[in-house]
Amino acid sequence: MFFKYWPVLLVDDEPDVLSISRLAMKNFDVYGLPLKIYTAASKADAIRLMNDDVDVGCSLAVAFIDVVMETDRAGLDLCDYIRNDMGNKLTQIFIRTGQPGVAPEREVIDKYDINGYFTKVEATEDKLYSLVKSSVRQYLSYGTALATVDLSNSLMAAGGSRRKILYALSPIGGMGPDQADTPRWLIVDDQVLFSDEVDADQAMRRLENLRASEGMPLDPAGDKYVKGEDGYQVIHVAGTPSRTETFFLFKSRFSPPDLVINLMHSFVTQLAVAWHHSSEEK
Amino acid sequence: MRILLISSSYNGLCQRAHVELEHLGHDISVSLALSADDVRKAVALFQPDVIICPFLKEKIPEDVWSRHLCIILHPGIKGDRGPSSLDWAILNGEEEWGVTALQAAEEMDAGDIWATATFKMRQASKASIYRREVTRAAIRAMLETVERIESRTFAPEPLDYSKPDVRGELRPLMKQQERVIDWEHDNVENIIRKINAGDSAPGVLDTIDGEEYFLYGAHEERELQGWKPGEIIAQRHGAICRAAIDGAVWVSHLRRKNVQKTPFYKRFLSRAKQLDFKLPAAMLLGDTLSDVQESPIDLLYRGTEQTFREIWYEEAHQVGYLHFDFHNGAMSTDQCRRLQEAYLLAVKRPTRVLVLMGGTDFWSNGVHLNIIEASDNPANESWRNINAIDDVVLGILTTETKLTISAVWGGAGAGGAMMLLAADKVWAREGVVLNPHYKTMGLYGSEYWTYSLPKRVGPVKALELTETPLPLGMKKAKAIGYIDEILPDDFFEFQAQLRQKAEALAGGSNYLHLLAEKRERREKDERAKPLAAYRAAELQHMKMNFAGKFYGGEVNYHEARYNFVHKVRPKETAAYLAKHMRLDSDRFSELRQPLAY
Repeated sequence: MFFKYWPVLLVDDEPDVLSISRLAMKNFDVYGLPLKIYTAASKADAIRLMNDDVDVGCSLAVAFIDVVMETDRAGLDLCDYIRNDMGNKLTQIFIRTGQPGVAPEREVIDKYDINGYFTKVEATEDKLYSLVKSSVRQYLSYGTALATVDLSNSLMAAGGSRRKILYALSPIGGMGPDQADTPRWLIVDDQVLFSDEVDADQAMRRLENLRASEGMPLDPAGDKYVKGEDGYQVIHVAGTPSRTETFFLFKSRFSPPDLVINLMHSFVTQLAVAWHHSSEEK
Repeated sequence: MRILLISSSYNGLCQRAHVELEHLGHDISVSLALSADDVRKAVALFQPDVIICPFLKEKIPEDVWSRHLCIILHPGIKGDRGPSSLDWAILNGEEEWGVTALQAAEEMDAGDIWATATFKMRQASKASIYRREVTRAAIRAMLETVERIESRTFAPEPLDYSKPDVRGELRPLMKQQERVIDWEHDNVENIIRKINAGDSAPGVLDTIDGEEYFLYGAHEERELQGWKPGEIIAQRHGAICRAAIDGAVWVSHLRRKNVQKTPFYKRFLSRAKQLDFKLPAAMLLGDTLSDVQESPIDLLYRGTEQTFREIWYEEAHQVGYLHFDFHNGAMSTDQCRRLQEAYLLAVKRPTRVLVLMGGTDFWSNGVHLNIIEASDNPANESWRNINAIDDVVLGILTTETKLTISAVWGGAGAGGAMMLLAADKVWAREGVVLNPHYKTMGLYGSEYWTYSLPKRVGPVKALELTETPLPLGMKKAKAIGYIDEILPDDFFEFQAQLRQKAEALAGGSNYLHLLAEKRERREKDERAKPLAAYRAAELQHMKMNFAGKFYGGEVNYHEARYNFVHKVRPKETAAYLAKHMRLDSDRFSELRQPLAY
């Protein structure tokens, strides 16, 4: 939700393939955000880049990888490195080969945890467009789902301790220099978490503007999602006898798809319930 | 006894005092001297039998010291008074110095003397002497004082300057005019002494290329020479070498004098960074050094002549000793990569045992937060740094051709405290304090700690150590299996015993058996779960710490790092230290009145 662009990695030992692909993808956008294209000329180069650049290492949305580079199977080894050594199950990996005889499609799909396979001849601009678009969507949905599960697990592990719930929420709250353009706040029981007075005032002002709007209903209890005109959005979970009224107020550079809104709603609901059943003493 | 520690910060000495007193069974709470009211509140809630101030820059409120026994650990010999004790001792070339346990009184440092301990001075920075000699003497004096208080028979000695053993005097705060270097007249020895006296605070103010900087990290240079005193004649790994009238001096770090003060929040949210914290000299000087040559040094430097070196190596009787003495134990991406290369070279040497010596003040404190903070993209630099340190640790964990030992002389924290566990054996000095946790920095941590730590101490202790960010003393560390051996607190005895034991291991009849056992264990562990999987899982958490994008990035880490680098004081004492804050109102009746003395 807090992306500025979608990092995409192209790995190929043919400089022409890299520059043509870069040119073809230059104007692609997904959810209104541009791609940021990284290139590597070999498996070793790509690994170096992953350990050196936080975008490629931590937030890589899509990778197009050639098979035959420094070795006949360098690209396949790279897929294995990304999935197993880096534990990255999220990046959408496509094998793009010029020599399908060396690594036949079925064998590769069966053996490696990749998302697609095509030959260089098939790699038209339209093909790249549809692959990039669909895989970034998949990446965002799957990533949000995994992050939601992680947060839910942390909320459960907090075992009703308010202190531990706050710790579990620390990846979300507050505002730092790197995130100043896309701030976000958690407002539980009228308290703005992780905020000083100035920041809390700003959050409450933004919230007042949004909460009056009708928005999109999320469930019969009165929960809703509201998007303002200035990029600020809120997921509101209404208070009931079993949960505390909770808001997730944030600014994003794009409007999230329904699935992502539903996932975020599910997390905010769990927080509202966990908060209601928690106490300071535990 | 119920002992309240009041300190300006929870520094190394305060941590050691905490660990030692707790080990003796005392009930300890800690309060930072953030304000007079904080101190009063802590005293009122905790009702201590005695208050000990291991490191205090502030004055204790009169209503506290007049009603409670307050002991100040003053870093000076008997009779020494004033805020710059150690600075003066270094600048005046004192051969012996000490620590005195004083009772707080109206006049600063003039109270009755409960105990004193002395030590031989060493040519080193103030911070280094503080961490080694002062800390050791202070703990000795503190424990003696506590014993004397418990005995209830000891009468402290009033300060009397007519006594022959009272050699100290009242000295003023040392100002920059006393510290200033006169490059035209000061020789190398004087320059080093002046820089040492102000290192790590406040530093010696000097002008380089028209800008004012504080200087830190002085090292003598025996070979390089320049014509113009003060001129920068070389650079090496971020340090600069400046000519002096009789040789040259390396200065490893600088801090720009902060002329313009900006409100905290403006600075925190501002994109234009103000690099007003301590950084490698060359990094701050940037283009000023474009004409200054890099003075190379061997990766596995084996020379003995005086120069600036961060990594060096010795070898004797089939044992290799790899030293990595990084300023404050912080290891940047570049330093990790150099260390990794040096380690691989050391592994190739024809030895049987490789000892990882760490540095003189710290074994290692993990990633380099100052360099990360100074970078254009801190999240990116954090990621590079953690990967680079992980590569070093991986190299140690997968060494098959020899036995490895972490010889821990200085303290270690965060990633450094986990990195030392990668060796086959961990031997540590008795007085070492480790901080094997990342939580105070808002990080999950890596360095393969999820493999190494539970393997040594079991999953329950691993969780306890990482969840509650408290210091770990060596007696407890040994008891829970964090370390294997405790070595003496004295530097020379430590060195002698370390070398003797390492050589015995290398020459032992069971050496080959131990090596085979190590290989088998590693293979078995790898089959159960590959090291790559541990690293991947740790880094998944770190991704969220550095640059989470789905629900937003971790702010805690970036904020905690900012506060650490800019030395922002906390608003309150952390709950895990301030035991008194946990006492709730219904337990007030249980609180005792202070003992009468």
